Amino acid sequence: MSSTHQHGHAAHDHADHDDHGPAKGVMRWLTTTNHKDIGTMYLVFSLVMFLVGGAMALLIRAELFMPGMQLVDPGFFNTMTTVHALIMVFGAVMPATVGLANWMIPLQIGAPDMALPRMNNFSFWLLVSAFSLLILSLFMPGGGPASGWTLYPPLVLQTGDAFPLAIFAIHLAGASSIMGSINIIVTIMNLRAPGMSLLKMPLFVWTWLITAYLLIAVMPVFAGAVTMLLTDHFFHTTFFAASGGGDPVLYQHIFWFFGHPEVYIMILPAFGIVSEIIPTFSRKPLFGYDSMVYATASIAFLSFIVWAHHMFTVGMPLAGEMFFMLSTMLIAVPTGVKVFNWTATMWKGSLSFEPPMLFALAFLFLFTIGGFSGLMMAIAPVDFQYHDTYFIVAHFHYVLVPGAVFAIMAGVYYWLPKWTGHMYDMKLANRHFWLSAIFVNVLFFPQHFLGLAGMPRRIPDYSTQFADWNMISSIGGFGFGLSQLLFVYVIWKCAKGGARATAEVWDARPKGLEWTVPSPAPYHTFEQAPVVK
Amino acid sequence: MSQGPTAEQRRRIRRTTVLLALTALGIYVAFIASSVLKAPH
Repeated sequence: MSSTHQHGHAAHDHADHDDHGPAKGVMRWLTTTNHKDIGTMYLVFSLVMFLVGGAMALLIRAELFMPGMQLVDPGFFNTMTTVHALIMVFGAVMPATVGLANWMIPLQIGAPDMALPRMNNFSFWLLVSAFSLLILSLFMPGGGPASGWTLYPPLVLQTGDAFPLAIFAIHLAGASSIMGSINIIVTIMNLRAPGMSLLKMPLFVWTWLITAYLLIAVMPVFAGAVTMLLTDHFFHTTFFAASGGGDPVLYQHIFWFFGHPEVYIMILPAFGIVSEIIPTFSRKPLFGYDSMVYATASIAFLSFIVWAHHMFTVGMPLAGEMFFMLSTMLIAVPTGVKVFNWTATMWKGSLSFEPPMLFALAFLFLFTIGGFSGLMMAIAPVDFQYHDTYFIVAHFHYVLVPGAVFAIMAGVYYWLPKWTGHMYDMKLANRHFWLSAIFVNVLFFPQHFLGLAGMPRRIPDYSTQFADWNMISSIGGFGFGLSQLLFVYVIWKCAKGGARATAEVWDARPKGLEWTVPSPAPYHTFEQAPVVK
Repeated sequence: MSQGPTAEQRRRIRRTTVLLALTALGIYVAFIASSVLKAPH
């Protein structure tokens, strides 16, 4: 009896150990190794960074509301454009997609967790440290970094005491990204459920697998470049200083060898999210699954051989211009395959327009506008006119805001009930969509006209001929910024409560392993691997 | 009851992790080294 009791007690302890829920209090978040907790932390962090970077954008748009200097001095304006970009790229968009990856990849491949849970925790907190340093650099003597997110020398070498902080922050963020990528690759390659071959993986998993390889290939290049900036600044090397025989243009080549794949690092997971949502709300399987995978891989490959289209105006041989022009245009082919496949998926589908689908559709239209303006800029002789104007600002914001950010919002609205166990307020989410979709166009579309008329980017003051479109753009900026408070409220309200969500969540009967677990997804899932047929 | 990765899976996870980490580190070091070698002396 005693023995049985002890045995039972031991078994009970063992079960407690294996099936425990989250720890209590702040220690849960500091020490967690659970992929869902870490995914939540990444998503909350990226939302906070989105609001901080957004506040900087509003300051920029407030200054540009009218010609003349209104609110800030030019140096601080330059700091705002620089730090806004660094925060949005490395602190908001990338961590948001990493958060979605942390939450969804184990659920989608039937894994109990990420393969390297402790490194997962470390990656997250390293990122928090990185952005704490970057934001603190704003308060250093001489102000924050003000050379644009590209950190071109020799300008960046004039940064004050903030320089080493910013460079260290970039190193930390890069290390965090590399560790996150390693984790994603080893998880996908080793922990897929039995029967889930590579070509049975959900598209979101595929796009993240390719993105993770891209990250590992280019992040060290950027880290190397900023390390050399650091030695040029502090140890009197002259990698990029013409006075010592170095070459500032070399930095541009290195930066864009990283910078162009970085664009795809932000957009490929967005492609994956949209590829999950459109089939669900079209009630049809994704059209051309295999071609979607190959198109993603092709885009990733091509992203390595197009970098110099960012620097046609520095001067390069005609053959070089032709090569980079044509290779850039080639990217339109796999991207066109994707747009065609999403459209074909909807063709004759039984469509419904829940918030995730609305955001995915807006992505489809508006990302394509950004893609087309990219094609225009790929034409080398024409790019001489567009270079460093607001046309460029309009182009990449179309790709990144109604492109990457809308896809992330679509993903959040798609999976939020699975995370919280509650349905969110559809009416408010619809309003959030319409306000965002309208204001994002009011914000960015006029910037095409400003750029074509010759308004340069990164300036705090401008000629009066640009006043009208700037005013409209700023109104759009404030409308878009304020609309995002609705997004925060919808998420907060959903986390607090609401109608219970079923396991499948959507009437459209979405496909995939994540919809086979209850909502909210239990703290531990797939402890016994599911079998995929 | 939790069923973690098998011993074989753990071995493959370790191997892939080390390989990828060395790749990243190698790119970083090779990149700086090539710039140092090309720098004017």
